[in-house]
Amino acid sequence: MKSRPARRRPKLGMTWLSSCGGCEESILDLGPDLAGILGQVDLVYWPIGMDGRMEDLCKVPDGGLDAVLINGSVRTEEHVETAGLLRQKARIVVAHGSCAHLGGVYGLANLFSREAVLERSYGEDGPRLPRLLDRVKALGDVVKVDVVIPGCPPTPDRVREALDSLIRGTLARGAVLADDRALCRTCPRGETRRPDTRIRRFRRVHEATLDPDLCFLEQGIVCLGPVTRGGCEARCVRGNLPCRGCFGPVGEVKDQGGGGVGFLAALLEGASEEELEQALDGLADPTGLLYRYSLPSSLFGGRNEGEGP
Amino acid sequence: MERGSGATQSGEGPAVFEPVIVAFLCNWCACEGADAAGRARLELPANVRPVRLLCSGRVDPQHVLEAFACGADGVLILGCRPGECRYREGNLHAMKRVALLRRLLGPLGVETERLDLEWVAAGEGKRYAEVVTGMVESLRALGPLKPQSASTHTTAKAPDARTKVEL
Repeated sequence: MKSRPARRRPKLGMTWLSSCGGCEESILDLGPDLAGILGQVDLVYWPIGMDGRMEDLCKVPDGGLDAVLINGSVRTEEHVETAGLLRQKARIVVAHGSCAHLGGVYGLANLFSREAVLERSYGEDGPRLPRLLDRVKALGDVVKVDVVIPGCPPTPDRVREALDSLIRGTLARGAVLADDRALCRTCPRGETRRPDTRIRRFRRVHEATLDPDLCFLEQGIVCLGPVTRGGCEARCVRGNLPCRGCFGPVGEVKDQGGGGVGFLAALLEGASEEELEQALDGLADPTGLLYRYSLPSSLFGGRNEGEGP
Repeated sequence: MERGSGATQSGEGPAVFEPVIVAFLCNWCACEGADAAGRARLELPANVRPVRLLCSGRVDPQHVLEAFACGADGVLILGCRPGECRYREGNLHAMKRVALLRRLLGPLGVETERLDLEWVAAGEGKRYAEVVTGMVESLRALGPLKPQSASTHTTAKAPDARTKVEL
């Protein structure tokens, strides 16, 4: 490799796998700052924003890109191939957004078999797609990931932080660009939670008139703040919606669903099975709720073999 | 742990499925109960892998998930009867967690019968034997749990803010 002058513009690639486009949107969310950033990087590969062909990418020497931002979950064999090629070409692979980080919302497809998913979405005349993997995976399941920008989608500040440190040459491997503490620690309503609160019956957001200043758990609404990393500026809470866990589990929690069960169970009121079942009846789809963004990277990864639900 | 490690019984006759059960036993009641069963020379199935804890309330839901992901066909939590917990309400916490965990596990394809919480007091050797034998029988009827290969997504691959890796 050529010796690098001090002000060399870092070569950057960005791509999407199984993605809704929200993470690409998070790049545009940088607003006027984007122009400045684009002036300081050499954007080599970005299929959604410019002409990006695989064969051009193949011509890049191995390690020729300083970093790639990959968003979306790994759903098809083509995604595995793309991720592998980018891993080969880039010195630093950044998992951009919840899907790449944890498997994301698409990961809920792991509650069903691949065949059931195709059948339900397309019926008998399925589109011609690259072969779907048996189950949705996170980027870290198929290639080594160096840096994580969590979020669905990540906040502009987190993306800016990543790109700025890439430009300054300080983007360090092993970083999750978020708070390692629970969201509650920085939540504007964090102070309003009382330690002795018990919930008789969970309510859903549409079933309640929400107090905009009171902790959601105090109102009987499930909020995943206690088991979710902070660093999102509590955007949902400020918009009067509870946390759904897109930043992923805090450091000490291995499995977001298991961690969620732990803290929610502690809040339950009831000393008999009947009372507990009654309290839990207000909790719609606990599996989908507690694993909304993280099923592929959970301890189970998905549904057991056997017939679907 | 090897899933269904004793998948078949040696000897003649049709193969019998031997489930693996991870049992979390409270030190103050169920452990004594298991001892009592042993002292009474009661016949106990060899399917149980006991884990002694100070209280059934110490069982984190993630312990249960991990046991299943590592190859258990069933998880049994044994604690003191309500009102008899040495730490006042640890067993009640276990009950709440199990109620919610079952609902979490259902859509993941883990049948309700695979996770059980029972009360076994210190002297109840006979009850201990009945509970574990009963669970072995119901798991035999259900067959092995076959999770899709548990996630390979590990902290080694997904970086953690606390572990800085050198370039």
